[in-house]
Amino acid sequence: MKIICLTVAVLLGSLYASVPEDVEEFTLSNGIPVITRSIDNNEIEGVSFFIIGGSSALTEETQGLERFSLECAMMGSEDFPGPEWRELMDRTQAEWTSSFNYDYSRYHLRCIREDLPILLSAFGNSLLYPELEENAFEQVRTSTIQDLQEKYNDPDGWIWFVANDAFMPGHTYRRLPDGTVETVSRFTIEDVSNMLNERIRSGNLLITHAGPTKPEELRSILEQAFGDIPEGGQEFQQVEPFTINSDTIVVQHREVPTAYAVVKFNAPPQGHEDLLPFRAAMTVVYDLLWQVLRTDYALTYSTHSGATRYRENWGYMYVSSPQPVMACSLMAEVLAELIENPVDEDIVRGTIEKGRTLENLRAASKDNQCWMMGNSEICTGDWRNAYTVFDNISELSSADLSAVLNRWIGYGGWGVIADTTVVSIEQLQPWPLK
Amino acid sequence: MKALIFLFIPLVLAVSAADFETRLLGNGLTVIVSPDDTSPVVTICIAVKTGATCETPETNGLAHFYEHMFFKGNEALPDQTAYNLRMGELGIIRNGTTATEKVQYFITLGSENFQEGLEFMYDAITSPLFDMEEMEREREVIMNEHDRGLAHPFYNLTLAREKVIYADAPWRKSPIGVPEVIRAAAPPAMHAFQELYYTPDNSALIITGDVDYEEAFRLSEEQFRDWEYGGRSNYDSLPRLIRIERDTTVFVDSPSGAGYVSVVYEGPSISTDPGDSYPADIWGSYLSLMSREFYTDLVTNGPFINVYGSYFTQRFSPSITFAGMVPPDKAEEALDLLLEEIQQLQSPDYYDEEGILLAKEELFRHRILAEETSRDIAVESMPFWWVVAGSLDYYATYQDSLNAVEPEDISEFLETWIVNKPRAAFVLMPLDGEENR
Repeated sequence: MKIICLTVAVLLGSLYASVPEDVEEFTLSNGIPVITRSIDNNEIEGVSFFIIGGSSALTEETQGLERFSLECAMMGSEDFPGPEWRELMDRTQAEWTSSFNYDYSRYHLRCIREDLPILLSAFGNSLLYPELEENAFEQVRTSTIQDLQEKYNDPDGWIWFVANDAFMPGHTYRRLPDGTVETVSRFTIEDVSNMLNERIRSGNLLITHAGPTKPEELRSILEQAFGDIPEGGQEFQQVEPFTINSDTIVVQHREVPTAYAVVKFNAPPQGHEDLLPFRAAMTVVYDLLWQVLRTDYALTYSTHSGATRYRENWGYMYVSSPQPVMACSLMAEVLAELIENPVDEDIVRGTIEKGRTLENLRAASKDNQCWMMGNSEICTGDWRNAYTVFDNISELSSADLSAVLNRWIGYGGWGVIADTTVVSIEQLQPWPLK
Repeated sequence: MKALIFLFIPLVLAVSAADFETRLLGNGLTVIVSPDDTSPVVTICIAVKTGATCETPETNGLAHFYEHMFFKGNEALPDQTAYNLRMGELGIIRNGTTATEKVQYFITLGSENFQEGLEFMYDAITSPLFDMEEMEREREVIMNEHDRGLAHPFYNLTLAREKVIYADAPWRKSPIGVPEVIRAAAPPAMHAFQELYYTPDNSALIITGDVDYEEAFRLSEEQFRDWEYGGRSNYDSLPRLIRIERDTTVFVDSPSGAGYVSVVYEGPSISTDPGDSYPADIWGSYLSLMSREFYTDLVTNGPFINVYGSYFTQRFSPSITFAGMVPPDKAEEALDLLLEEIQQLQSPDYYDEEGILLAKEELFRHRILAEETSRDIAVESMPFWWVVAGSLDYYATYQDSLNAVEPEDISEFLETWIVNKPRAAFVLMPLDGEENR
């Protein structure tokens, strides 16, 4: 029962007054880079293990294989066979979270300080010497397929992939890191073994840490856990830009009481000077969507917008509404209006202030710190960029934001999930964004 | 990297609740402060003892509607535009939640704006305008929220549970409410809710983050002392809701194809049987151990994708639930296995002493991890315990109480709440056009 307001600032991106001084970098003996931030306010440790590549490391046939392989590896290893592995997890109550996106896979460990060495050792052992026991392997397959079906069945989550069909057909990012039911159904133990052998190489990896363990001690723990990972890795091509050349819409019929819509459009790639202003502008758009679609017109419970932070990026707007034609049309109008007419400066300043609060809130979470440093290092080439955004956008004017949107926004790729027996398909045409 | 030695991890970690102090203002408002200077932000939360459990069929959905109106205009900020502008000025991130037994509103902002943040919350809680035009618009927003829920794969299951387990008053478990009430809601109904529940003696003000005790208490008192005492809330005298009188099994259609099995028993209320809640928690934690029988029988060697058995701490609808995802074609088989396992776990021999220690350890570690940031404490921990347990004494003494639990207490808990007690079972699976059965 949440009013979705917290996301206001989530979409803004990283704002932080300056680069923190308590960050150190070092390299393990096999070349794995490590970035660590000392935060000793409590006993909680966070460690993120990034495997770089994402969609670029997959083919049509291997979509989901990296995720599947890592999940299989986490079922037990030579030194920690299934029962011992489970016993260890019981003892430590370690929390493992994983995410698999277009640019990298990330495993994050959250645990109590004293458990860090044994948990990382077990993790390292599972990556290099996974047990890959038949029953456990099939268990992962069943659970992965169930998860994929759930994702498909949830229109609120699946709408993003429908929009991909309109915005980026044929692009590298169309290869799904989570996989499909079809691909996951075909994977074999040999596929998994080969994938781990190919991808668990020091040149593909990055480790970030935030917590009370000091750098020297951390180095020793990581060396013991991951020092045996072989050198080497893969070189990935620059991801190609998106090439949408007309307003496009893909409609998926479902018997849903409310419709879901997402539009995606070009945004500056990582490293481009327009990216930060663009992202700030899309956060202002979020506030405007909330005001117009939710407050003024009561068309929706949930609407938001933003810009991604991958190597190649897009802007997006989202809405769920029983009146998708009107809601989408208004959404496009809000964006077009902002491109043409800068908003009041107070709104821009307010957006930035909320973003500052969010960033300060994030500073207390080790998970967030690990993600921010790792994501920036992989996607921008320097972890420091996670902390300098605020320095770079605090002086932006409303006119600057309109100008950057005008430079980048062109055609939109729309995805809509609606009950087309209720909503006329003829009315579901792509709405121009400017 | 072979021959790794399995390190011994000491059991029973020392952990205490977050540091906090509590004071009671003259008007009955409980103020709770928990400082943490890790980051220059402060979170202010107002928890109110209300929610769906206070509703009737005629008011089902109003507690939630009220939540939507909370962050609208008030006497100080008369409309949404002024409201949004002020949030921007102060850098406020805000949210609100309506649960069955609790409603809460919370903001986070820079600690330099702490005093203004208190004022912002005071105005919102004491002088909402409930403008009719705003309500008209907001009811459409809420209907959209309601309709989004209809598409959830577990919607049918939730409805079935409400009807069977909470048959006396299913509306008391449904915060979103019913369309008829949402459509008819008007300012007088909001004011009636405000009169009854939105009073200082029925609420707690929780402040965490970059503040110090004295300043936080002083400013809270200055800001909130004029909030008028109510004394009208019936929350503490509401009747118990959960009631399972006989064994029941319900097969629920799953249009999305998802498979899910659950078995529910009545559990101890934290207000009437608080002593039973500690062995209940340890017992639930034991069942979550992946190295013990419950998990290995049902997941490692069984049809479940995941499974848990746990006690949900509540005042009015405390439940003991065993549940897990299953492949839909194995749902019926999974239910049989689960019921068999439930039979076995009623014996004291099912539990070993080391496992019980591990279960305690899990609860301690869970608390540490759940309270990583000051916002976690203000939003997740303290409001829940203050409302549900009636004060933070339960929260503060939780670890000691857990440590005092012996294996015999767990056996007693099982005897009291599970052995030979009626249960309600639910199987979510595609029924191929059949009605629920």
